[in-house]
Amino acid sequence: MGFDLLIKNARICDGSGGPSFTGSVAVRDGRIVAVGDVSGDAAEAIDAQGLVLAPGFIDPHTHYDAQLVWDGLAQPALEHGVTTIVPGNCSLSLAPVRAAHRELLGATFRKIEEMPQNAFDAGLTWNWETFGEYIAAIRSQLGINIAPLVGHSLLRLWVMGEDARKRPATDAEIATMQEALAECLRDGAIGMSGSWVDIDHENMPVPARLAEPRELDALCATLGEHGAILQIVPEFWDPDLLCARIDIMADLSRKHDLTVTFSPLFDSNSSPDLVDIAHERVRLQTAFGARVVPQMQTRPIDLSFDLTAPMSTFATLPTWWATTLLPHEEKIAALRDPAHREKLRAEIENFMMPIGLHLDFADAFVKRPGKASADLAGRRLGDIAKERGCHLADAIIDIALADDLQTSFGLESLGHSRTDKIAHFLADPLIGIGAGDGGAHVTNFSTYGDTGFLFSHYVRGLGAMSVEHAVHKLTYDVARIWGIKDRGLLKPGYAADLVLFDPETIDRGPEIAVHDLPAPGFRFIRQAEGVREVFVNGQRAYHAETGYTDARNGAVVPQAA
Amino acid sequence: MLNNVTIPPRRAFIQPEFGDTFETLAKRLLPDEPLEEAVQKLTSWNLFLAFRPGGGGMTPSDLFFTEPPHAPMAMPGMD
Repeated sequence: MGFDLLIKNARICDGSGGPSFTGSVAVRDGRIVAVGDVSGDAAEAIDAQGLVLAPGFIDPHTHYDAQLVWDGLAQPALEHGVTTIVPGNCSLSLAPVRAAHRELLGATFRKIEEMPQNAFDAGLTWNWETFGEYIAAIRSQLGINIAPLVGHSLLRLWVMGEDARKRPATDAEIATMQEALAECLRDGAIGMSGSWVDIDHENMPVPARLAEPRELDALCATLGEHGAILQIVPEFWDPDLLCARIDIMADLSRKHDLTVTFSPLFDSNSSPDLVDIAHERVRLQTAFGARVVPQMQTRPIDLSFDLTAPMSTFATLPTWWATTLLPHEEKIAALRDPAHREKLRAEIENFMMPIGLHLDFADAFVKRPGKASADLAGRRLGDIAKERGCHLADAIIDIALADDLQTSFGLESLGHSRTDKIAHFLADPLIGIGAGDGGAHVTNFSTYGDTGFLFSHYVRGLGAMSVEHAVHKLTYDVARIWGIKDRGLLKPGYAADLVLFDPETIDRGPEIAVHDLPAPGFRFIRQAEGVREVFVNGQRAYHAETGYTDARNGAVVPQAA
Repeated sequence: MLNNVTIPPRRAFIQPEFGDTFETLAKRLLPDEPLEEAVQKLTSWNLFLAFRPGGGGMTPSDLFFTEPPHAPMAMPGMD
């Protein structure tokens, strides 16, 4: 019997991290059936001379939950070679949720993951309540595999209603939450996500943070019984806090035979030894049997902001935050009001970002100017304020007002930018590559292309990692950590998730604004460079010359019962 | 069995009970000290709680340090 697909003459990086070799991969019925010196008839044969053939990349930290409802390809993840994504991180999935809590969940999700409300409202059909119904709602349109998490905050809301935001759970409620979690796991969830840091749209702790330790312990018992994983967000900016959290995660891991992954592990300029200290703590706990895996992203932190909506840039500036929340006309009036401006000026002078970011608005630049500010494109706000003889806050506001608030500003390399140091940790076997946040913060920064950046910056640029090692860290290493079966390797019997790329050119493109949301507005993305073709479960999903295909055979990983 | 491993914490901590405040914790953790001084001491060890943005107060999933930060360890070769 012939093959459906035969990719020949490729440099095969099989995901194991071992030396690459020249050979072929044959596919039939969505599975890899032969690797190496393969011959035979095939419905389609591809000569991959000069290209690397690798397993599809797995992105373990995303927030595509909403986007998947209107875009089952999770664009542009696929074109970067990502064939499996993990949505539902940070205690927030979009199911299970009762109809009565959709508004509350939506407001929380939009605030934390920075999604424009109009896109969220226009794109979501909300024709589900249970986790299984959510999976059913998106499944037929999936062009990418998903390994979804269920959010702890959602489980609390499901069981406790609005009290989830106010108090610890009773014993009976904890037991009901365990049952609900087990149902989600049976319906396709790969694990549960939590958070020890996130705050909702009213600046209150997300429901997961109201849980007493015994509640998290009970839910971890359920995860352990099902061989599922816990993802959680710790206080990632402080060594003492992070080490305490690593100890708690390690105890849960040992007690329940559970893998716990936390994100992000982030190199902070304000705490330069943090990564070393956390790594040493993880190493120690690993030596004593815990499975605690930090996730580290590849890209430095860049932010964009404007005054149209609340953004994380203003999270610790209450007057700025409140101002951006106002209806448009009221906001314009407030920004023109001298007394209000005085408050905005005072706040920005005492600004401190509490999560290890060195953020100085004077270093911000005009990123996407409107017509009235076109001549300011790329210019530093500190320089503009000096030139105009005005306060920095006035420079921001006046530029924004000149174009009816449509101008956006950028801040680059705010942290996680010491790439020599980061290279060492990205290669470390105790650390997983992830935390990229794909699908979130869409008007604030681009969360796409971290895979391309790994090859362009760390493999080609710094020479810190071989192509084989980088492929391993994006494929089998993630599958191993997350317990994803039959993916991450080029091996007979494995799913035919494949990416063909040019190792000399693979990269992330420049950050651009696109208007592909289901409502007016834009989001920042990065397109792929150097990725030739992507296959999901044996079918072509993307080709560099022809773009995305109509294939919609993404799977739920693990498959729902 | 490895599930009862006890590795000394980098810095001693507890997790608050629901409804705890610096005052209730001061009474519980430092019962022999004058309340105001005890609150000040605990606050200085937990500035991240005292001054963090957002509302909601202390939550039962929070960390609460019960000792001050340790001095940075001297690096070999440093005076």
